[in-house]
Amino acid sequence: MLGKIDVGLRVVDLEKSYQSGHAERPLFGNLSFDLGRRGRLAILGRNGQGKSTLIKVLGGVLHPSAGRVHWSMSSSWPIGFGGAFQGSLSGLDNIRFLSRLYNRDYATMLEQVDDFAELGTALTRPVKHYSSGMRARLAFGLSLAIEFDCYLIDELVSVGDARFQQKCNEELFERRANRAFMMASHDMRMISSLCDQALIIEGGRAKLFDDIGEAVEIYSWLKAA
Amino acid sequence: MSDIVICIAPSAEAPGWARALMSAIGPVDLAGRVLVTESLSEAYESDAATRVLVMSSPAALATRSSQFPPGGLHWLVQASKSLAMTAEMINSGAVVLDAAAAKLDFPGLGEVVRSDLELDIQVDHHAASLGLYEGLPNSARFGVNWSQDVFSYLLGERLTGGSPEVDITGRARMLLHGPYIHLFNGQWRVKLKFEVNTEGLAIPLVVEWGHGGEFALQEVTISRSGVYELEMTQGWRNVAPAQVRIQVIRPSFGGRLRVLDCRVDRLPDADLDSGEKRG
Repeated sequence: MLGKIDVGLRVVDLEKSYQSGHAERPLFGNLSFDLGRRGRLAILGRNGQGKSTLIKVLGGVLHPSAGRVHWSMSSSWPIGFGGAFQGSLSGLDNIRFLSRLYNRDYATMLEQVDDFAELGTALTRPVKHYSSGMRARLAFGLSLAIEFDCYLIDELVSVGDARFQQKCNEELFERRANRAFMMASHDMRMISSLCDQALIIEGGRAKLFDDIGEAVEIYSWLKAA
Repeated sequence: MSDIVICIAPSAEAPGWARALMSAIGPVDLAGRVLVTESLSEAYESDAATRVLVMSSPAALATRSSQFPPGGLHWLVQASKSLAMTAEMINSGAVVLDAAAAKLDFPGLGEVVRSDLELDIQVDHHAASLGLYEGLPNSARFGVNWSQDVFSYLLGERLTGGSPEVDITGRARMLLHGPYIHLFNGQWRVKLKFEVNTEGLAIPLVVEWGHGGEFALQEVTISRSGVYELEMTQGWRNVAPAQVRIQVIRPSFGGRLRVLDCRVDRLPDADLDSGEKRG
């Protein structure tokens, strides 16, 4: 049980439904948990069960159908999600916009993003002309430059090539080892080595497991069944 | 080796009989022909031609045969062992003498007068689980209903401490075991009634009944919520602690289980050759 001061995120009775014809279909419901300021939560579930939706709800991209999400630490937008950019602005202008929004020094931020995302002159082009990989790298670079307390990671595998993924791992899990994160992934080796709790979403229900090995066993069976 | 073993089973009167027999045996048993013991195990393991049991009621025997306080699970295991050994000795022809009598005629010793008297104490809680022995020494049939609270339920990595309302969510594992109540030689049948809420899942269970390394086994996959009953029979060759075990054999995302009743009966000796498993 976390003390009040250690809780960075409190989720209470969270529910997300979607409209299917005339009926409301629950994606998940009755979800309550706390995440510590250094908590490392895996979000597991088969495709279509609602992992990405949960991350978007926690990141403020989607509204919940019911329940509360209370952050007492700063959280990134979902990494791997590039939907928040203003497409007609260039990469540079987006960096400038976010540096103002988050009250960061533009020059420093630009240097950090450029160094990490390796987009070079592409930063001068409108973001709407970027490939999805380029958008994800820009988003990832920005989230690292802003230095959040908690990172929301939706399937890191989808961002860039192997070398870039290695870079992401180093930046996120080694240099920022004292931060919290929530990570949706199908990579059980990564989950087992990095996370200390897991949430499994299956058939409209979500359950939290303190034993990561147990969660991986259950999820592996669900995936195989 | 003694020809006669006199076992003073635990009872309120046992100390009085122990003193009386010790003083009586001195001048008589110079050749060690008669062994007097207060240990049921010693009498049970003895191969003497004649075994004599001095006992009062099964309840008194159960109450006094363990160093654990009456009512707890540890007491239950030890008390059942004493009762099972007693039952088997009686079944194999031991002479039973009533400890409550003031004087008794012992084989090889003649008449002995008890030294004094003590008051018995009451047993509670788990005592009902030993009900199969309540007819001793005259019972021909043994049967009892065990309630859900005689079993042990796992709690995380621990083998005990869990709730009888079992949450099946988790890895493949044992859900419940016990009660380690001792039974004696013969065929013992269990009828286990339990309730499962599948929460929409298919839940594969293995149910076992037996002792040591000898178990009757049934594998069932429960895919609809409801009340289920399984029947199994397993043989006992010696006194040994009985176990019902329920395991979930695959990781499960949900499901709940609760034991409703567990009926245990010793089949008549004529049925000793019946099958090991009845579903």
